[in-house]
Amino acid sequence: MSCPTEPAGVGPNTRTCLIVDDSRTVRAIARRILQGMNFVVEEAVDGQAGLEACRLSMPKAVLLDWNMPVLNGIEFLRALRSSEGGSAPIVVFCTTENDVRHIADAFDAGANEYIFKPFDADMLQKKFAKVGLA
Amino acid sequence: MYLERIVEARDHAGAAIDSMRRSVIPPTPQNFAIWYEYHAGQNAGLNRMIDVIISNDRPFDEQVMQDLYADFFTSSKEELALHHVSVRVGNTLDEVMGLIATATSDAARYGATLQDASSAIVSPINPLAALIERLLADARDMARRSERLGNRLQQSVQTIKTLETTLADARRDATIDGLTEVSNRRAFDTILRETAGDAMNSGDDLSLLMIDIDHFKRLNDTWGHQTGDDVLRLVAATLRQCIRGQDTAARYGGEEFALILPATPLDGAIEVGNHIRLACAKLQFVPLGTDQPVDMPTLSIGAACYDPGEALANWIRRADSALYRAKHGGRNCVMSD
Repeated sequence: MSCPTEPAGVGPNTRTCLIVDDSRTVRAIARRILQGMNFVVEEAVDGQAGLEACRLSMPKAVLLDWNMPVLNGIEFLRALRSSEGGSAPIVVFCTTENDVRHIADAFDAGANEYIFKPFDADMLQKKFAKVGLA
Repeated sequence: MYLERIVEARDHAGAAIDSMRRSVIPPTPQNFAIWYEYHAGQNAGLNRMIDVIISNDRPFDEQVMQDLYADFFTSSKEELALHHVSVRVGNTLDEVMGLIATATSDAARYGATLQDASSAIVSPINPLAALIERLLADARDMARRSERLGNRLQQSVQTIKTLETTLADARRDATIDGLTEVSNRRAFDTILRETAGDAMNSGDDLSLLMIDIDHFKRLNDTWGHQTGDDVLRLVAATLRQCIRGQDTAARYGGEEFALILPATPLDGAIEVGNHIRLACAKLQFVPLGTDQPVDMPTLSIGAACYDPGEALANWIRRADSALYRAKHGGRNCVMSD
């Protein structure tokens, strides 16, 4: 009798969060917190790599940095929202940019929430809970 | 129905005034408009924006309020145009000043040439000489007029520069502690957040020193508040001398100071702390009207390095508890977390 084996952590009830950030430190901290919230975590080092990851498999949520080489966060978000299936993921911006103009641009481009760096576990959990990702 | 609306409006207005008081922003008509609209809850975009700022603990400073007003209460096109104009007025004035200087010297040169020509033509009844004489008078007149215009423009430029300086001073005052001239508590909170955000991105070390003057109350009681203030100023000046350009010295409250040290690991921060402690011990201070030097108080210092991902309040708490241990370990020392 054979039984199809699923890759570890990927099943019908799993949910993936893609972290798009060029900072290794930020990816490590966010990964630890998100795994604690039962997310399967994927990482991308810039917006371009993020789009490719989304093309392969659309995540449930994206934690998105603003300033990155190659393709920055806002460019990533606009490209994602205009791509096939790209309106589904819940996108949470996570950046040191904390002025009104940046926040307004982020929501205009289709962001769901906005977190200022530096963040901590409590902040991240509260923000995710607000957009239904508790 | 009408009465209900009055009650509702009164509630929103009260809430708006409370909000302005809580976030320590001046109750200007513009700020009132923003908070009234927020509490009325009719503008989803504005409420989402303000909720993001509140939930991320960003203070509502002058810049935030200005941007909110520009984004939600004015046509952004006009606002933007105004901004561009004010930036360009300065540049244009500088350009005009240059042009006028050139014109003035051109006119002077033209006058000199005519003068030469007029002396070369000797006959007093020569009509050409009379013509040149008139041209010469015109040229002198032109030179005088452009000089006057230049002077007046120079005055305008000076007025604009003074206004700019006043504005910059006012902005600076909002972030500086009046007594000690280091950053105030509000600026400390902002800079701590910014540097921690940068450290989280870069992965660089970021350290915090909490510094408390030992037995400050006793010093105040013995020597009076004037001397107490002088000692605060001296300690603050020493802090400023002991740090690098990217560091921040701040008055945290009362006789407690704080130093934010980017790109500095914990042992480096302890070293800075000891350096400051020794520099303060060397200070000599004789109050005006006495010949008796004040016994300079010692410093107790707590150090902690930021751990990216921890709450900022937790980091400050760790530095504070190290300071507490320095106090209870006999004072005049640096303890780390």
